[in-house]
Amino acid sequence: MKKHLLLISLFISSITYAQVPEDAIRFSFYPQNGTARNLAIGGAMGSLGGDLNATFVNPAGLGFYKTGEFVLTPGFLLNNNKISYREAASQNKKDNFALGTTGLVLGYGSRYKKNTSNALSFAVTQTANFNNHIQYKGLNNYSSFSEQFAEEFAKSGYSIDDVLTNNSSLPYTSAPALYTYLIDTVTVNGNIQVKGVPEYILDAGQALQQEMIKTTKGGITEIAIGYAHNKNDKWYIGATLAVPIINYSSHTIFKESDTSANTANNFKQFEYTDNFTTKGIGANAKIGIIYRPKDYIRIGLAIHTPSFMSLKDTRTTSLTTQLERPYWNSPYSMDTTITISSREFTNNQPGESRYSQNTPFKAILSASYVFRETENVKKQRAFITADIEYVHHRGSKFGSQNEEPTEGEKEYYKALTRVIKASYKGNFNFRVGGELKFNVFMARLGFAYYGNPYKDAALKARRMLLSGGLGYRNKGMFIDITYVHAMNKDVDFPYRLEDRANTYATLKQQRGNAVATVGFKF
Amino acid sequence: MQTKILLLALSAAAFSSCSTAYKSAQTPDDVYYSPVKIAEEEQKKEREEVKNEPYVDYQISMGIRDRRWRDFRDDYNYDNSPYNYTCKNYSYGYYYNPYYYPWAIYTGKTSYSKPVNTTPRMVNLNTYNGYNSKVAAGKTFNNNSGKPANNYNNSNSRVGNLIREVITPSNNSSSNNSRTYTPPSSNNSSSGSSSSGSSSGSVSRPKRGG
Repeated sequence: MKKHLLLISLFISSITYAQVPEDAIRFSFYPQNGTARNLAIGGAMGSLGGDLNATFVNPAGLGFYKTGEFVLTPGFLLNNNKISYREAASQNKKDNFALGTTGLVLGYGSRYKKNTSNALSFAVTQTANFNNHIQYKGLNNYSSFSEQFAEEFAKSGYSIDDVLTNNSSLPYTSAPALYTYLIDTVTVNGNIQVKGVPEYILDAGQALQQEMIKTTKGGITEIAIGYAHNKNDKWYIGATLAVPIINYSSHTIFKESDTSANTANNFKQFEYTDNFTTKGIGANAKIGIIYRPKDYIRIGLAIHTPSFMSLKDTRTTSLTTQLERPYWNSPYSMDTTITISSREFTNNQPGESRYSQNTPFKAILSASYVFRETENVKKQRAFITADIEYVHHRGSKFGSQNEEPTEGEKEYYKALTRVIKASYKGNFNFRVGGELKFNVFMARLGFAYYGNPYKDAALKARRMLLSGGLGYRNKGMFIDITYVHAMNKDVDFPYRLEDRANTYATLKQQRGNAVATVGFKF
Repeated sequence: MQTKILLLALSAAAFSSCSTAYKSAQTPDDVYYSPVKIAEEEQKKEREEVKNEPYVDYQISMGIRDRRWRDFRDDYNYDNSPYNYTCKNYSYGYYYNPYYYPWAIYTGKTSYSKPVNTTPRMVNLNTYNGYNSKVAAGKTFNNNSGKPANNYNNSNSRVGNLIREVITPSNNSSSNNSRTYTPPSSNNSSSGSSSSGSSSGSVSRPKRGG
């Protein structure tokens, strides 16, 4: 009860804590996946149709199918990151397997009307791939990672004894920091304040060496069933019901060390490790319409509802702090090392948090021009297509799904939603591409641009993709190969402080994606 | 990964054998034009195939060849016997045996006896721009609060440490009023003290100077 009252008072005084806002952007700011053919044309599929990936973009595009098709799309991702942190450059790589759109389409003409048909699809795709490795380091003479713990503990209103329990309210952050004396209380001008030990180095005008190593794995795999109806080869309407399966894991190590030669200035180094996984399942729907005013021209509109997801986070952290004299006032040694796991503060088992998350909605407007919509394959020539997509990034929402959520917990999930609205904005994404067809061979080019979701103009982020591919279609089967080169920009905050200017790393990622699709007509 | 690749290869091989309809004719490209595949014709064809299929009772014919097929629908089979209390139909973690216990016995896994800590991952939301503009402007010591770019410190300039001191509203650079320790009045934990000796469930810090 005492703990709950403290937590409520915490929020009354407008100091709020919650699931991190970056969780919202992780599940909404990523480029579209697809079949090799669709990826080669920049992913534009809002009006073109006739591709299995229409299931995930504009299901009305399935209405162009009057035949059956099975599609397999394996891929391979090559990540190459260049990172700048406090004017120091780092570079690292990570490669992994990926899955493009794979599944089945069953298209049938109507027995009653010649120009009317229906199509049904069963498809799976990896809508987001989180596999990456980010590593950067640099000198910092301005702030310390430990200060976030000092700030959190000072504003919590808890005593040291309140936090250092085996079922703590701050088990992953302040509790390990207090236990290892990375943060502690000090008396300054008669006031007791909370201070990070590395701050002694900064106060002496010296710098700290900081290093961040972050490995992320997993992705969002979406399983979908799509249906489309074609009326008179003029109007195509479709809907998709999809189940996103979320599997994300993050292993983060943050190191901070004293760069001075002084071996008796309180602090030597610390290493903080944070392991957490997010797993869950959700549901969403996509509806769309394509109008074909006359031969060759297609205009499409699609709406994607938010994904309503039920998620579970599992988390364990650990901290090793090495302290020096005079802080560690031992007559026997110059310094001492203390290590602790957050499991000590979560009943010797990983902590679990259950919550709901709604991703933002999307709207896509698209147009295509198809040269020669004729049955004779030898006379089919080319197409161009373009999508404009709006993603309402500021619309992500969170809510607690713990069995007995406290009032404070409910309150800070509401606060998180307000922060997401204030920090992110709706952005426009553009996808354009085209194909030239030479009987059974095809050549394709595409471009895609995903705009900055951050409201703060100082934070630069975007996804820019250039793509090209070749295709061969004959004897009841087809093979498409594509290479997509992504040039991404983003920012990464290793920690955030309320009462000091923040520091962040700028990330420039070059991501290669080699994709092949094998398909069979029936 | 090898399993995934193998699975994809096997699926491709399976479907390639089905894809016979367009092996001799042109392969349609549904992006440009999709030839009509009338459902009625397909169904009619299927109905004809069913009509012409000779009736065979596979159970009888297989029973002639192999005795085991004769017991296929045997109600006295051991697995379906009413005398078998561990019958397959009741094998979902429970079984019932009136000769030993008068209640169902659950044989599932036991779970953690200790309560799971459900604290969410936390971050101070005041550190994000837009949540509390007053704080965001103050911490940069910049009157132009409308310029969020000034809320960041990304270089180690010589004035960096000076700024750190200037923004701290005190004569002492290590003082920071926003981090004042304000525990509940009933508790008197103090600087550097060990929390040992507190109520049960506490985790004691190692003592200094040990």
